[in-house]
Amino acid sequence: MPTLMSNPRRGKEIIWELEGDFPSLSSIAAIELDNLILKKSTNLEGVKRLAAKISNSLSMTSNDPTAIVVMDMAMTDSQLSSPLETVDQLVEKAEEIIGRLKQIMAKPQKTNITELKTMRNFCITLSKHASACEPSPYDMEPYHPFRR
Amino acid sequence: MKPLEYSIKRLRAVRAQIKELKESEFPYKDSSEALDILDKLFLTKLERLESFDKKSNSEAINTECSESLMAVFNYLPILGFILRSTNVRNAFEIFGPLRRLAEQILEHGVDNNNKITRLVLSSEWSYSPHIYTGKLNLSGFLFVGLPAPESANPFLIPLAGHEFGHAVWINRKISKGIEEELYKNIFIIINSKWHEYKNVFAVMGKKPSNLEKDLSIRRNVRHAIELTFRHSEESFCDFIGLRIFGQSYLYAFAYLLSPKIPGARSVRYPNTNRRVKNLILAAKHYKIACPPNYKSSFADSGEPKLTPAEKFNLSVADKASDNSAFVLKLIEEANNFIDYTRINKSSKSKVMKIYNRFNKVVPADKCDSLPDILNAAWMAHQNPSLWKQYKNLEEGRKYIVLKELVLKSIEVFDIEQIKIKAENGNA
Repeated sequence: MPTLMSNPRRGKEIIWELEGDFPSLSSIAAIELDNLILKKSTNLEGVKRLAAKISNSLSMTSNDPTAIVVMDMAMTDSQLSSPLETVDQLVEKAEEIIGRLKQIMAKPQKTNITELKTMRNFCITLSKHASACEPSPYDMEPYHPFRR
Repeated sequence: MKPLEYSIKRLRAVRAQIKELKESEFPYKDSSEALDILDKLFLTKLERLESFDKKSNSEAINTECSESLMAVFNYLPILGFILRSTNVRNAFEIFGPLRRLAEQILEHGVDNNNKITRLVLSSEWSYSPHIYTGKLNLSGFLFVGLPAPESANPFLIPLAGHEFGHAVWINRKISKGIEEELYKNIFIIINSKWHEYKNVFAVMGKKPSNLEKDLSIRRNVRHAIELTFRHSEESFCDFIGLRIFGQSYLYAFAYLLSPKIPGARSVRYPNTNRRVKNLILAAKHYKIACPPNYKSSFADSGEPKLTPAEKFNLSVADKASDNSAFVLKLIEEANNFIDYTRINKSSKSKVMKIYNRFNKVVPADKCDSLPDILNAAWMAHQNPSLWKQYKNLEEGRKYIVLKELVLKSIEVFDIEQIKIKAENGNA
């Protein structure tokens, strides 16, 4: 029987799945946008996947309530939006951001540097906030009364 | 300080460790496949870090360095898990039957060549069966850990059913079908507790017209939502375990948890009495006989010390996930799903046939399913007059002999299944 990694396409997809959370994916997207600014590469696979993840995570009844909180904090901190009051406003703003990411993907080399820097910085901020919503590795250690 | 240089060195050290682990002797290839995937993951991360140059944005570099450190924290315990899966302490007899069961549950109807389910079964130094879920599940992997002193104890195999339930919950996106109802329950409860909410979160002003859409409320009750989903998932997994393994799940559950989990109650689970109440309800629904006085074997753990906000969120989660119509829906959901996988309920006559073999101190053969064997095993275990005719068999030895008989029967069942598969050209 073939192994999971023996099919290169499937193998790549598995690695994307393992790096598919908000902190990892937004960090990868930030690197891709930085590489585009530096004219090192036009690969935007991570940006594409991040746009799809944002879109899928912001339903009104998502089982991942953190996504809404994280997007709210990242958009406000990167000054892509003023403080928001409702989930509807947040979804609308998030759709605007997804649109901007899609525009970059459509014309990577024609997007102006300021826009690329804005979106790169947004991705960095998103990664930081998403990471801060995860438990600290120290708190993930099994608790034991004898352990310090 | 050179975070990038240190991060690169850390990832190289992890890869060197993986390389060493690959030299181990693997009793089954799923464990070594898991190592291949983790090696590829760390290689991808390493290459990403190595591609930075002096012009790269320093914030982007630091963010990725931090993410790579998180991956080390997250995956190091899994590398240890894979190593322990090779230990002879594990009952390798149960691997084949459990893996086939996992495949049937997660990939029923999928062509053999396209199946991706992989099982890594390990004896763990923690007294709680567990599964690593999340992203690893999506790649087809089930990392199921059983407590080391019990990892060769066939009587506790039914608890793996609960762990498989987590994979079903994630892979089959069970929460999608119930999220609207859960959110509705949550916000009805918050509305009814508005006065308490205002005090706990120091809210000034009027109640918003739509609580569900208010972002500040979403921020405050994020944990209530998370815990509600978490409690529902745990109940669903109990129902999956029960539906697959029948009465043997109830006995195994009692062996592990009765009378109660010591210390304060974990907020991530419904309290013990609620789990037991729901299991009894599900057993009735699935027409599975509940052991006598089952409920009285359990008690709740004490309430944990929480902040007022945490206490509020937990009370909302407890109430929202304990709605009786909702619990019945989860029971039905688990039943429908297992029906779909064509896993039959344990049959009384088949269990009896196996039990009669155990009664003669002979391993069973030609069994139809792992649950049949385990239900017969528990039936024998519960019989106080088992083997009374064997005067030379000390009472204390009976349990050990029965465990060996059950393991041997599972081994025979495994070989028979391999043979059937080979005859059908699917070896």
